[in-house]
Amino acid sequence: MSRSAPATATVEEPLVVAPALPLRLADLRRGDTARVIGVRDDLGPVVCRRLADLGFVADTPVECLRRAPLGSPVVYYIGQTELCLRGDLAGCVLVERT
Amino acid sequence: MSACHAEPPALDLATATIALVGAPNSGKSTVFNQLTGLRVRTANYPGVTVTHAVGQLTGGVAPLQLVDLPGTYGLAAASPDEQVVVDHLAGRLSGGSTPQAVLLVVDSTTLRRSMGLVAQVLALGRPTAVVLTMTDELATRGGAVDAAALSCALGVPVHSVVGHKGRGVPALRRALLDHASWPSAVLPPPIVGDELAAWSTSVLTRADYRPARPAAATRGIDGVLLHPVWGLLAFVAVMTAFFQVIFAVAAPAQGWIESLFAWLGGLAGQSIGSPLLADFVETALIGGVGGVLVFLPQIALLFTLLALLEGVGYLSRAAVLMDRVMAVSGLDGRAFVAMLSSLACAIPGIMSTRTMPSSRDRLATMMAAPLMPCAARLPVYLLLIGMLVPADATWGPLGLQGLAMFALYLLGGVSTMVVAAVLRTTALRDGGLRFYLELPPYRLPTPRAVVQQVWEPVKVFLRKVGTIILLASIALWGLMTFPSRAEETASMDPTQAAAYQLDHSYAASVGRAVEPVFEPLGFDWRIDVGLIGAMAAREVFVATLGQVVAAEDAEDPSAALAELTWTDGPRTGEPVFTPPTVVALLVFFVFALQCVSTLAVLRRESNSWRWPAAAFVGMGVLAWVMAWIARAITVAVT
Repeated sequence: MSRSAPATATVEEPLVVAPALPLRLADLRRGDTARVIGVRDDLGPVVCRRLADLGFVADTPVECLRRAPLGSPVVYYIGQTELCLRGDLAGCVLVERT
Repeated sequence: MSACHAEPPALDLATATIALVGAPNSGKSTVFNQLTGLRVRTANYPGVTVTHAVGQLTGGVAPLQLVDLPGTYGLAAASPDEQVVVDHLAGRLSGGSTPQAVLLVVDSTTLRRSMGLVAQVLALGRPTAVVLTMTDELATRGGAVDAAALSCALGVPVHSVVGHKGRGVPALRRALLDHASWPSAVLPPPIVGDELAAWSTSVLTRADYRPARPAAATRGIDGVLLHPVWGLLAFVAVMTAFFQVIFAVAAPAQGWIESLFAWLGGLAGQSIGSPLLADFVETALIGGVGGVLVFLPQIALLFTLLALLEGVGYLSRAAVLMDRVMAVSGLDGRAFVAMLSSLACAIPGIMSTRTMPSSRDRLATMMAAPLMPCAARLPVYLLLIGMLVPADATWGPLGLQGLAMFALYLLGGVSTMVVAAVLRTTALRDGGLRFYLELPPYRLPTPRAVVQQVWEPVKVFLRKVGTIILLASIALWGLMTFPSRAEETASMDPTQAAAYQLDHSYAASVGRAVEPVFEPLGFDWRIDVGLIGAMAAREVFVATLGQVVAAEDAEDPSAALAELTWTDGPRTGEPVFTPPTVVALLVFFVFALQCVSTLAVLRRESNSWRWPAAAFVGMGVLAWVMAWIARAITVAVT
């Protein structure tokens, strides 16, 4: 099933993205697999710390499982658990495709 | 839970204490229940509002108590629940005593993710033991871990158990009684960054850890239940079945309870010699309590269904499905669970907000929850709709009474969302941790766990009936029965005498005193007495009107109610329950916060009188204004 672009701030950015720019978890499409690079702390240290406690630590594989029927949140498979995040939190996690 | 009595001291300070720490869904409560059986009491920490369960463990040389702390993913607290864990471990609660040892519960199927919490707990330097749960599921899903090797790698004892089958529990109990011999970590492990990752990897390698495959069945079921089309259809089906069971299945049981109390009342009326005492027992005691106990089947069913849905794992899926809808009013998926519980009663709804990490989300949910159409409003709605709409009236294929009921529920639900949205854009803007939710694999809940989850709210309800509602019923009976007018009524026939008595009672004075406030809504002093009684609990309104009409015509109460007329003032002789008045009354009940227990719980959960006071006044004013508008509209269209 085709999926529209994630409804996040990236939609506003130019389509030609320099390859050096890191991908965010929120940018993954359904079925994509990736590896966590790190967590940005733009939402504060508590959020950053909690994302790490939830398994978003460097080198952990992550998979985008499914989007909720109404478009948000998105369910990810991370560290043997299924976890759903809204775009704001998923936007803090930097990943690279595998 | 009815917060009007002093809580017992949370912990016995003289007894050795072991704290249970673990992530949500780690099976911590199952382990706790297996270890302590039914010797559990729940209590509140002084000053804060998070309940914890304390269980006794016997059989050792000295008694031992086990404290079940709220689930947490880490020791950097992000919610009131998690703050309690941190404070308890640091000895900032329960009189400054720290637990003697920590029992850390880890779900073996999520072992790698859990290593962060393991490291943080070990770094506390307290005597610690680890419990590995769900090892059976780990094996079925192709994973493995060597508990003995893990114990060597961590430097603390590791026990593996299968909580729901009780496997490994006796050994764990023996280990707990011997907690004095538990070591603390020799070298505190690193708790952040690359060092933590390296430590985790080295520990897991030494423990021969092989991660579990993804739960295939869960993936398959979620493929349907979270599907854009089938998922929404399934959600609608589950919710429809939910309400069918609560409202239709409970009906026969409610009928039995009604007949039982009617029979008891009749028996008391016949067998007690003194008319005053007979009336007291029949009306105040049996009538008051029976009228409310009727809701017991409904409440028990609601909590059974909630426990089943939660135990199976569907409640978290429903939260995912509804997150986008709740986002409209600035809340998140977790608030949906609170709102669903509030359909039974706002109290469990408010209490279920404890797991919300953001205090502003939590307050907005708690303040809006009392607007959800709770079970206590149901008897009032049933009574008033019965007076407004004939039972056989239809609109197309649909019964009009059912439609009216649906409209009231819709009004309640929509108002809840609007009030939450207003709060989230004004007083409770921004704030806190964003929404995240773990979706546990689908599992079959054990009957024992379901029973334990249902028994607690049922107990709370019974306590409410036995205290607040009984007292309110007795007080109202007293107000309506005294001062005695025996001399004036001596020459009247019984019906006239009863009406005269009520008209010249304390209740009449109180009702007439507040009559000017509600006069624009068309409420006469007898309705006002009912509203005052309903301050204790909404159900009391039905009982009060019952007492009022019992005085007028005990044979046919509903006919008597319909024929009730104004006894004084400019409207003397006009019927009281005209359609505009009934509509205004219904709308008033949709909005008004008439529930002492809810106010008490709001006070406890928000730790201040500010929020319950604001809710009471705000919802009261809203109720009056909305009732006035509804009355004006009804007058205009009829």
